[in-house]
Amino acid sequence: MNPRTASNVIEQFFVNSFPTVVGTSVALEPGGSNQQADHDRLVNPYDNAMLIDEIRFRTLSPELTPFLMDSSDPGRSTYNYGGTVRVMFSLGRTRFSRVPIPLGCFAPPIVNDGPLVSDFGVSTDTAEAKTIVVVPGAHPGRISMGYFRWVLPRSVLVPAGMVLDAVFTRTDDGIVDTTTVPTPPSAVRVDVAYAGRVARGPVPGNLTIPVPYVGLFAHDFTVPTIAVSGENDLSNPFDQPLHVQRLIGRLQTIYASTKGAALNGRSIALDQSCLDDAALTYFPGVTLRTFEDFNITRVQLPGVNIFEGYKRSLSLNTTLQKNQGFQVSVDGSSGLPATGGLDGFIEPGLNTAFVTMVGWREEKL
Amino acid sequence: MSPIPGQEGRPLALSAAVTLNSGSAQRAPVLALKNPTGEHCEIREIHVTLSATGATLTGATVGMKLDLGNEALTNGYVPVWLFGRRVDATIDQDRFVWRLKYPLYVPAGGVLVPEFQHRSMVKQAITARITYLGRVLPVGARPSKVHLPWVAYWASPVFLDAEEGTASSSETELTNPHGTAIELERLAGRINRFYAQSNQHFAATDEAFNVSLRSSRGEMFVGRASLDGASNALPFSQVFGYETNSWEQRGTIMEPGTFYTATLEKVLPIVTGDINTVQGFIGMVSWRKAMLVGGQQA
Repeated sequence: MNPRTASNVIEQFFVNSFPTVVGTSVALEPGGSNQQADHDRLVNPYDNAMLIDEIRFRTLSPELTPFLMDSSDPGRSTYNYGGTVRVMFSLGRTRFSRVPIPLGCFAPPIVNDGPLVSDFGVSTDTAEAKTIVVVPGAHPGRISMGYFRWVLPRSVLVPAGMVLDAVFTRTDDGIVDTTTVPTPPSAVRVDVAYAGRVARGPVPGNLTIPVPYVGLFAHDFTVPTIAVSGENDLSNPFDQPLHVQRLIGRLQTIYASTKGAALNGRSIALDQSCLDDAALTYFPGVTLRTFEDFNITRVQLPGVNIFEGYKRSLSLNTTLQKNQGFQVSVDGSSGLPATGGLDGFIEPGLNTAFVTMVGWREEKL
Repeated sequence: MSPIPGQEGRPLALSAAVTLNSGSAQRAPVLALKNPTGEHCEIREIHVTLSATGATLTGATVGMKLDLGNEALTNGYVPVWLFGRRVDATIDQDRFVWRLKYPLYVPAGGVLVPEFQHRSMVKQAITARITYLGRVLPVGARPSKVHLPWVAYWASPVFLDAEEGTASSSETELTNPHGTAIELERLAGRINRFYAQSNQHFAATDEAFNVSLRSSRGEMFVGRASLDGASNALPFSQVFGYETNSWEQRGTIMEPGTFYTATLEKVLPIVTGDINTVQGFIGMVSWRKAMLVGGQQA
């Protein structure tokens, strides 16, 4: 069945719908896993079916620790948890991915909010993350906030009483506030919200519906090497065709900060080289081919040429049959961020490349 | 409406400015906003820029009322940052763009009249410039039906940063007062923070409020209590979107006489600092159809 037709069939039940947003939050420690978002707060509470059009995330790290700022350089204290915080969605027995997906890898990042201006004073903003510094005196407090939004490739139908489950994990990124005693705050709060529409009338229960699917290839560069994706990472595992919307490429870097002892001396960023130019986005060299040996890139290309600009994405709009897929090679043998300029150096093994494949297939309700 | 091949119309740009003293309201010069060709035209974008010497502004500091002939298109002076989506935060302090979902038809000789109000949030005079971008319609082209915007808003009380509280809109604010249904294009949400230490206004993110929304039909469509009965008001940016400060709607219709009740729960700030005040704004941008009779809206 033409997926566009399937979506149109569903849309006809949502004419004159009313809008809705449901949401909740979880707290994640470093290395925390399988933290399920409150089922009761995400369930469709209405008497009719709901269509989820987009999913919104916010990360909030309440680091209330005073720290000394270098007055000549406020520091590039970016705390973008979009790579370390990950989520697995499932609707009944249907999962949206095989593994948890980093929050920053579902969709193109939100556009840069602009440098050095914020509500409270000086902030160092990246594409998605804001570090808000309050300067009421000599010992400023600081919070970091990240925003991520996934406009679903096709809206997801959630029947009345059902829930799109969200289970969160956080990798052991080592970002812990060690300066507050006796209990250093280390949890990242993650807000998740589903925005969509509710039908005013009944929706049949036997529909074929589009369901998003996200594949992930992730590699930690503990040694310089060329990392190659596996056959299950960016492929179609289903019997039905998988319609691929885009590939997204992000590079997470955890680096040592020389700006005092806050947060265990670490900071975390997506797509930054950590050199003095805070706006520099970076991704290692990439080659891309299909499982049928068709070379999408004939030679290795700079990652930013493939995962374009601030969108960090490559639009594909193609269809994979069962067991078809993409193989991506990421060249981390040289050139990865290693020297952090004013902000210190990158510890070995703390560059992680992500490539996700975002699309949808069809399932019978 | 589709352009007639070979006669697609000609681009049109009209602009006028007005300087407002604190607390005053004034129309922009109407003559400068009138199509000088004397033909029918349509407006597709409306840009507003604000400037003041010695003050940091946001889109809350000036309100705008729009009238087209006998039709009021706003529920009073709507803060200028509630009309369109946020475009770019680097210019968000003083430049606002409203890309109209439907072209706004202005008949020959007619004018879309803006009136601005200085909302006394700063003491300095503010200059507001409005620009219409659109096209002159091809000769003989005139739609039989037009779309008219309806923009309404509600502003919460001003809260001190260090206090908690709750405020709700009334039934006369986020309402459809017309005799026909309106199509909701977006719900916009903005927070204005006044930073006392530097005497500056900022467009804030969402740390200040949780929000819930209820329709007059009884649907609690944001913040509906979960199955365990607990309130589920959501952080501001989870509803209105951090990137654009708006919640774009698909197929949402408001019947005549219906309204939304917005409730803002002021929460304690995550980081306490100098004394700030904060105020929330919620707007709705919608459209209704009107018939044209003899070149005028019916």
